Amino acid sequence: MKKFRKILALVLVALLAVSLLAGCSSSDNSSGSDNKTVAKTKPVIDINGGAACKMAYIPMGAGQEDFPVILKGMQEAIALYPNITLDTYDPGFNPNNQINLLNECITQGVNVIFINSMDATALNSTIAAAEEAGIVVISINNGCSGVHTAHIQNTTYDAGYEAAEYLSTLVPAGAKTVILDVAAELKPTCTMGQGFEDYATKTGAFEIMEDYAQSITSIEVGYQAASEVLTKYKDVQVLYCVNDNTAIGAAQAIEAAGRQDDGIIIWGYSGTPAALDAIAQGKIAGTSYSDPFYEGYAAMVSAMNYVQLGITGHNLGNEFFANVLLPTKNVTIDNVLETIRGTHWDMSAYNY
Amino acid sequence: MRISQKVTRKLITLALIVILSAIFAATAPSFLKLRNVQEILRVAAYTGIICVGVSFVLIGGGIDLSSGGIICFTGIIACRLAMLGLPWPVILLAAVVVGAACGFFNGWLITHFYLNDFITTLATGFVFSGFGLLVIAKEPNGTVMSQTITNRGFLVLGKHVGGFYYIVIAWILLTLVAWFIQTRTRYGLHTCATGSNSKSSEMSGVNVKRMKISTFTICGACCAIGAVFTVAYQQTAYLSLGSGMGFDAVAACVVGGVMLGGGKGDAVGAFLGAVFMTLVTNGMRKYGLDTSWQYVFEGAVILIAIMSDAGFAVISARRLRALSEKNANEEALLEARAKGGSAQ
Repeated sequence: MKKFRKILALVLVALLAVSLLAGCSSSDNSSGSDNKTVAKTKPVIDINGGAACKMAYIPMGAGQEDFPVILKGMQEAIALYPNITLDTYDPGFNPNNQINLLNECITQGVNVIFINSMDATALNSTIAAAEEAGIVVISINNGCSGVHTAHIQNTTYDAGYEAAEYLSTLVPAGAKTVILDVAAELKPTCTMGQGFEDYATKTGAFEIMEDYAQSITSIEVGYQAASEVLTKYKDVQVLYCVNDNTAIGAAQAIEAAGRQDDGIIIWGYSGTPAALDAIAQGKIAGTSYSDPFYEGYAAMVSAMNYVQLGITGHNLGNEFFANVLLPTKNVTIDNVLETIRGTHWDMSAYNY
Repeated sequence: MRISQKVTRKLITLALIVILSAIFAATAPSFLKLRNVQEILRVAAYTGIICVGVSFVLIGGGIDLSSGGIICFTGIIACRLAMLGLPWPVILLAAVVVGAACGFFNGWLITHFYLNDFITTLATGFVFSGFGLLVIAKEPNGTVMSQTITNRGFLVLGKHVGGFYYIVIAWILLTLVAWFIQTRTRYGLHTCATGSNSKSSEMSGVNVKRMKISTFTICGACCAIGAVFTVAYQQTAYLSLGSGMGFDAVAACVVGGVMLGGGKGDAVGAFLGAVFMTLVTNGMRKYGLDTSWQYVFEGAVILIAIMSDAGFAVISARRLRALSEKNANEEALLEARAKGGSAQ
């Protein structure tokens, strides 16, 4: 009897699975063929005419420092379009969760997916499936190596190069430098470290002692990484950090090590209010100011255009995707106050 | 006819799966789409294969939190071997051997140095992730390289046949084999006995140390199998592969009726637990609920599962007490009768 009940339980689960598969296969086949037609005939969704459009934004995680600002930019861009819905998800900084969420968006039949990819390659096959289903996929900041409709990012390579150019005026030639870089998976699209390194190689202004890959970029991880670097390289002169959280963590590590008077120069990337404050206080030499608000805004405007024109990377023949780079600017003690006044990073400024 | 607690527990999980499916199907139009069902099964299969291994450890009275580390390490090895163009059986075998070795190491450490399972496997999880970092492909300057697998012979493992992903088929087969071992063999009986009361089992002639090591070894092998299929699906391996999977697998097992204290549960329960947990996550997303509510709901489900286990334990204890009291009363009555008879 006991055996029978177990077999019954197993059979019921199998039946459930099979019935779900069989019961819905006909309807899904039709939707599948619809998707194929959609991809072939390049559908036009008349957003300006009030047509409904469903969009989804998958950041790396809800704790991502620029996530609320990017989202604000997107929301501003669609403020006058009540029929556009924008849902956000939290993959918790896990590429596997991002893959599951991408599949979820495909199932829900969204028209556009915005994504900050956690891995430049792991998401490729799922993004390809989304594009095949006629979905416009736009990557923001951290891109994917596979073809998708568009990639929008504040410049990273140029930002690193320009930061190095500026810092070379502050330190003697061959200054010992450590780059606190992003994880390897993100390097294909987050190239500020590469920009810095290329300037160093070209001019000999810096001696790169290590390109330190961090698993994630946060104040805590930046603190740990910088503490390690300070112990390992006693004579380090420059810490080039790939974002402001890392830079703030590095500044804290220098304070904790009691090496504030060693003149170690820290540079960040982003321009968060905390980093701008740190620049004003002289804890950080500067940052490459990027504006995620405009990234979000530009991503959304591009998405609306792509959707109306029926363009996806897939139906362009998988040979091309648009790469939109927005400029950054060096913020130092000289221009930090004017930057603070006009920053989009300050979320309290949106309370209107 | 009284249904055993073990079966009741499974039937409750099964009923919850059916009820939830019905609710999601009725309220979320995309739930019944073929792609969504395939996706639920694929995601459940990934957790489920790990659950098969973890169920052995839990039933044997242990706990393994190093699953994530083993998945990362073996996944990266599989990726490296796939990049060499090796066929999938060789890659799968190599990964399973490495995964089993990791599990063996866990078991050996715990049994020979009398260490706590929880802390030991938490620590070895970091060690295995570190091994992953050691073996992952690197650029000439030492930084980690991101690779896309193009070995078609290997990538076939990430595909599906007749609507079912290969990982799902592997999951079902593994569950059936594990269920048979756990419930129909002496090994399964000994595992259960070890989890229920290791001292009594040892006194009864069960080699408890060997049993524990073997359960961890099986768990490691299962993690490797899950990792290989996942790497084939994602076409790459990365350092955060398997992160959080240790806790997810334990949670799914507990929801499926595998008792944390050991001695109770089987792979079928773990199977149902994995389906249930995936179903909850998938369904919750359909309503566009804030992620924080998803976490709250998932946590609440696990809490309810643990509480129901505790409830079952109390009921069992009461039944046992009532039975022993009844037996004692009957014995006393018989004794009194016997005394009365001899007095006459």
